[in-house]
Amino acid sequence: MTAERAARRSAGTAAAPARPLPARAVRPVMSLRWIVSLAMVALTVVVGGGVGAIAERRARAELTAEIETRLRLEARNLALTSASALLTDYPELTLVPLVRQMQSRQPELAWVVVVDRNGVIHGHSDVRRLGTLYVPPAGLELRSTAGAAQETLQANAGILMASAPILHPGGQVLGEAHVALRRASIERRLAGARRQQFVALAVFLMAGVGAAFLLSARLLRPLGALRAGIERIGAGDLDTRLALDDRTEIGRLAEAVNAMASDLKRAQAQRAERERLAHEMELAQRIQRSLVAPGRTVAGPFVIESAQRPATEVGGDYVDVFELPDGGIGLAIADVSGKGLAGCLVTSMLSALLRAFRTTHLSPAAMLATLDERMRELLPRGSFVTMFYGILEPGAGRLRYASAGHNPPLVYRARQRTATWAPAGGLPLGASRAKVTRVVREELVELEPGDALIQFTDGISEALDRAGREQFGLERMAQRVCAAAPEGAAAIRQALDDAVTAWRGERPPFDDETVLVVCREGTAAGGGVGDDEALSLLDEATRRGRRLRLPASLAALVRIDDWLADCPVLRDLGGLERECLRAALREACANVVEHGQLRDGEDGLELWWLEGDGPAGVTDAGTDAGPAVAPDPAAAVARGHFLLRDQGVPFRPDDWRPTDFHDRRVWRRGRGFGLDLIHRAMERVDYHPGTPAGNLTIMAFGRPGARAGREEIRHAG
Amino acid sequence: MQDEFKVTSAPGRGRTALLRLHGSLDARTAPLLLEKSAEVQANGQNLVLNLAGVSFVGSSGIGALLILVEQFQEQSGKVRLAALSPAAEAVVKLLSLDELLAIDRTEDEALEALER
Repeated sequence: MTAERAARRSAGTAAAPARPLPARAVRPVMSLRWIVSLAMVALTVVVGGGVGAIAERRARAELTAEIETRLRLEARNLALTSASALLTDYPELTLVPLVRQMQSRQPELAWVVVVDRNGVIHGHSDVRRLGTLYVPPAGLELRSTAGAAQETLQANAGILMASAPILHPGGQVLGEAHVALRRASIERRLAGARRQQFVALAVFLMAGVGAAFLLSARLLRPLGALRAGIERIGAGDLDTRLALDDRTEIGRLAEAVNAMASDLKRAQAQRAERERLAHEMELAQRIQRSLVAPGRTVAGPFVIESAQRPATEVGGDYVDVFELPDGGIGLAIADVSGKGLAGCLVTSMLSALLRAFRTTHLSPAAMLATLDERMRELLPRGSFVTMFYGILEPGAGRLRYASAGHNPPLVYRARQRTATWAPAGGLPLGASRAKVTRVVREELVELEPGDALIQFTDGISEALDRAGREQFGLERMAQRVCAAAPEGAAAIRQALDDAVTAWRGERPPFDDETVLVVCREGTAAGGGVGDDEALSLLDEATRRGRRLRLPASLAALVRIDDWLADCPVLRDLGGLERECLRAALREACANVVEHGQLRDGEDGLELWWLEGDGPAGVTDAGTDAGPAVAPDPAAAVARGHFLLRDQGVPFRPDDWRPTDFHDRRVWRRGRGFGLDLIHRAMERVDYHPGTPAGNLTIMAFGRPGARAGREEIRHAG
Repeated sequence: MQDEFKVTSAPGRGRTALLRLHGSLDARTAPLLLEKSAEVQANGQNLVLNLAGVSFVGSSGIGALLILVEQFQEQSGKVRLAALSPAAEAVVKLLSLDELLAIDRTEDEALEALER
């Protein structure tokens, strides 16, 4: 399967035109170093700028406060110094040099003025103003006053001026001292401070960028080694291990890459293992194919066709057709639970066992019992095998079979052109490990010219449709078989194969599809629905059979019991067998009463017991239709036919099939088991509706060997 | 000649009820059996059916028995059949139901089996 997929893949590649690689936009590599460095610059600028702005505001406030204090002190000092001078006759002589000295010492002072209490200037650096009235500049606003001495501080846009009163030691005010400062000088000092700050910021910036560059270079150095290692792994060297002594996330990444490499290696090994297994599976498939029976076997009037369509993986189906020493033909079909290699091994085992035991003259039931015993020792726990095994006696035209939990066989009757499901049951081989009593029932099917028996595995009946929802189902199988059966075994096989293949659509078979067709060549005697034989049997029964007339009422059916007790041979039947017969006859009559819509009183039922094999042509036993031979009491084998005639509305029991009581859904149905009782108690049931003589139900009872075959064969497991 | 169908209730054991059937269990009498057993099931009990007196079992009778088993199982109850008359045994075996139904030789064995 893997090879197939690989082939498909390579075919796909070859078929696709060589395309250029899609032009993927080449994205420029962004160096982490540059990203980190630029981030550092941005950070430093933002932080430096922010801190600088805050620092400048504080510096301005502090500087202004300091200058105001100094200015006030200057004014106070000047006032103190000027007090004695104003008491002299020529205060100018003292005050002018004092003022000039102050201004030369502090050039940022705009002016220094001393006035008397009349506002006349006595101290000024410009002697021309001496003796004039002092006029303060416009726009001055009072900023603060301090102390009891009426010191004031005033300011306008360009000037800051402190004034202090000049006091006589006695307390009188002699005048006032004014000291003014140009505000521009404050700005100049601040600008100087700002310049220093810028220099510091630039130094920090360069140091930070350098550090960031160096640090990121150091941290990212392992990336090169990581990349080289990943490229080596990508190239297929899965033993590459990255040995990075790095405790950062890059080291973690390297560890992850190492883990990935070893996981990849493990996955590669697993894949190789799977491919090896697939190869072995292919070998197993080949072995299994060799176990499958040849396609066509001819034995006397019988043609046996078998076919198998294997599922994609080895399935567990087995089919074999082989000749037995006594001229019989062994027919085996089996389905092993579990597919794959184990299924194949079990199938091989089954094949070997079957080949070993085929010459031992075992009956079908005994064969299954023997196989069960052996398989149970060998089967792995939980696996089991459903199997159908039959022995065809081509000369006698009959097939004895037993089933171990396999699907029921489909029997096509050429005379009625109907297909019905024959009984099957039992438990799968190896299904129970405990020592339980197994029940294997042996059944007998007589195949007349044109009749066929079809066996299969659930790969056929449970094949899913295209959508994977609905199974092919038993109903469709029966329809296809009915349509194809007149053409013979090969046609039946082909029809089923075609139908299932069409049903599946393109889905590959999920399970092996195995089919076995046993077909008796020729056309049905009488050609029609066998009414002629039925009528001649009725004629025979009216002449020498034992009759019971019944009114059309359920209550009257109890009379069957007394009638049976009076019938020769039947009254000698064993207790259980007679009870079975009684139940079956009452069911058959009840069916007619319930469904036949008979009119009360007028129409009744007639039941005959016709002992013996009946006229030639009806059965292949072919005894003469002579007068009844007194039965040999020692043999005490009751065989013959029950005939039931009614004039009611015919009903169609064609689509009856055995009830599978293992399916618990059936139990809730609570009805519809009547036909099971009849078919199980009788050897064969034929219904001939609407003959000139009315509706006839003919029930063959107790064919030689058949009753014995129905005896349960029990053995301890 | 037609024997009357009767279902008689007998003292059971613990949570297990006991019904004894008499007569012909067929299409006409099967509903009666279902009716009686429904009464028993109302108490959430197991059930033992004594079939010793059954003179005939038809397909409807079998149908009723299977429905009973399913109904009890739905309520985690169990049904055992005991002392099958030849008529009952024949039909049960003919349909291979002896592999699937719980059957005991005597009433006591059935009651005991349910007590465990």
